[in-house]
Amino acid sequence: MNDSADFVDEVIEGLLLAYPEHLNQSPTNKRVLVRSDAPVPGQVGIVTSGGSGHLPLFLGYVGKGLATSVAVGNVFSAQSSDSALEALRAADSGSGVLVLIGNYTGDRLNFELARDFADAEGRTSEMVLFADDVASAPAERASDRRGVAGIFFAFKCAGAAAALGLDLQELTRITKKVADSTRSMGVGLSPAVLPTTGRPTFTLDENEMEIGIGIHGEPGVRRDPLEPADMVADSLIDAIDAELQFNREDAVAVLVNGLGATSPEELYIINRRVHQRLSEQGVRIHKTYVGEYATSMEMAGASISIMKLDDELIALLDAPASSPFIPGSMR
Amino acid sequence: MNTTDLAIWFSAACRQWQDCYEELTHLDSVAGDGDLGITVRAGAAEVMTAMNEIDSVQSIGHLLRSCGAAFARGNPSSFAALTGAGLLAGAKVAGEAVSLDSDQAASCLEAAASKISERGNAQLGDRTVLDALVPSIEALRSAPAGIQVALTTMVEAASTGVKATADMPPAKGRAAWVGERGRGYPDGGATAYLRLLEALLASQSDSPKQI
Repeated sequence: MNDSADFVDEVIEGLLLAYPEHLNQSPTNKRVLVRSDAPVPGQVGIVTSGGSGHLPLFLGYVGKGLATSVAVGNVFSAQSSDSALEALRAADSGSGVLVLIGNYTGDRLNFELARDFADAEGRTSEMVLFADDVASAPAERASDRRGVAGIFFAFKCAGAAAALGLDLQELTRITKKVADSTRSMGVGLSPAVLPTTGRPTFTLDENEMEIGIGIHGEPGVRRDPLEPADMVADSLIDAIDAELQFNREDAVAVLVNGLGATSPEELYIINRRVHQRLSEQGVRIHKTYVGEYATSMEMAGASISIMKLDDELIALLDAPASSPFIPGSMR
Repeated sequence: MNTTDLAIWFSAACRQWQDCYEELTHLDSVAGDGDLGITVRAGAAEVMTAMNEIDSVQSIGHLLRSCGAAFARGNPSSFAALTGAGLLAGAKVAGEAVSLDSDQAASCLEAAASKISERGNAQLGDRTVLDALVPSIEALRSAPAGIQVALTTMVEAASTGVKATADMPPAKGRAAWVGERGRGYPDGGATAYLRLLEALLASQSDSPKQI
């Protein structure tokens, strides 16, 4: 990088130069990026936001059949309420706006404040907080859980629903259904280094792993000696299964996500085990995504997200979408 | 006190409030992510700029809304967003009024406290700004007439509240997942509020205006 103070703005500048036909920068706020065809008349807007350092999350999910606009925060820090308000305005065609963000206090508080101001302008919005990380709090405190890679499924399904012209109430219902049907868990092998401080987000011995790590390096459920990939995958699948309670004949979508410094080869090895396990249980995997969908700078590790599907979600997941960040994966 | 008087007073207090930058940075580094000093310094600077643009015909509601938007803009932390939301809730109570007495001020602060509690999902005793804010409102409600004496009792009540937070286990924010590390130190957010009250008291003494 160059000067750490310019990190986020220079990333955005480079992105806009790479994908000029996909994204525009708000003329009044350089931390707000908007889909080139937004706002789309008659369609509910979908606005998201969050800290930087997680590409392709969040701004990679702005695109046709996905979100409409995004407010970009500093690395691992919430976006400002000003940016959130500007992103909400940019997404609003007059049909209302769905705010879809991860369940992090700073992100939520700043967006709630932005919604206070948007209300005063006569805009209608609903908010869904994505909290799919089972390791971040026990089931009885599920509302404290963090949002991680599984939010991809929500962008995909809500974006498809918006493109079909469904109203804000329907979009909110569908997005909540995705949230209720999706669980994730990750494992960390080495930390990310914050550009602002130059310090690692956590420390871990070379032969250790953190089971249940968060996407900012938040501590997980336990720290264990390194295990082979299948055993690690089993730990993650067991925790997800305990909540989603897979039955024979269930249909699911699977996302095996790299946290930034893990090779695609390793991810496919994990995916192999996920398919083995789910097949043994008679679960039908409708769709599989493998790659980097929510990263933590250069953290090494991976996460597994699984969404239980019904006919409605299958149709939305199969609908077309496009993002320059995930070529070929939106089929 | 009318809108212009309040704008001048708030601006002077915000200048003094920034002096607690080091103290807040230190307290927040012990238990949180260390950005509370920056939040107060940057937020106070934004409020000072916003107060320059207030004129006498504008309502107290408008003034408080400007303060909220400005403070939240400074540094987008949880504390900034909660303070912003609290000031917006206070602005709704003040509405179109163009002057403020101590009863109305207490009602605005109560609305702010209840919004902060709701948004932050925090109660008294959770080691947050509420542990200084709520007792200071009670002190204002029962204080004798006169802004100087009212503020003095508010500072005393908030100060007692801040001291008590040192023994409270953190339940909210990043302080909660670093656990016991913050034990023995007062809460940064509660301290920030106390320093604001002190700055308001000190800058009030400079001006003869009474509520």
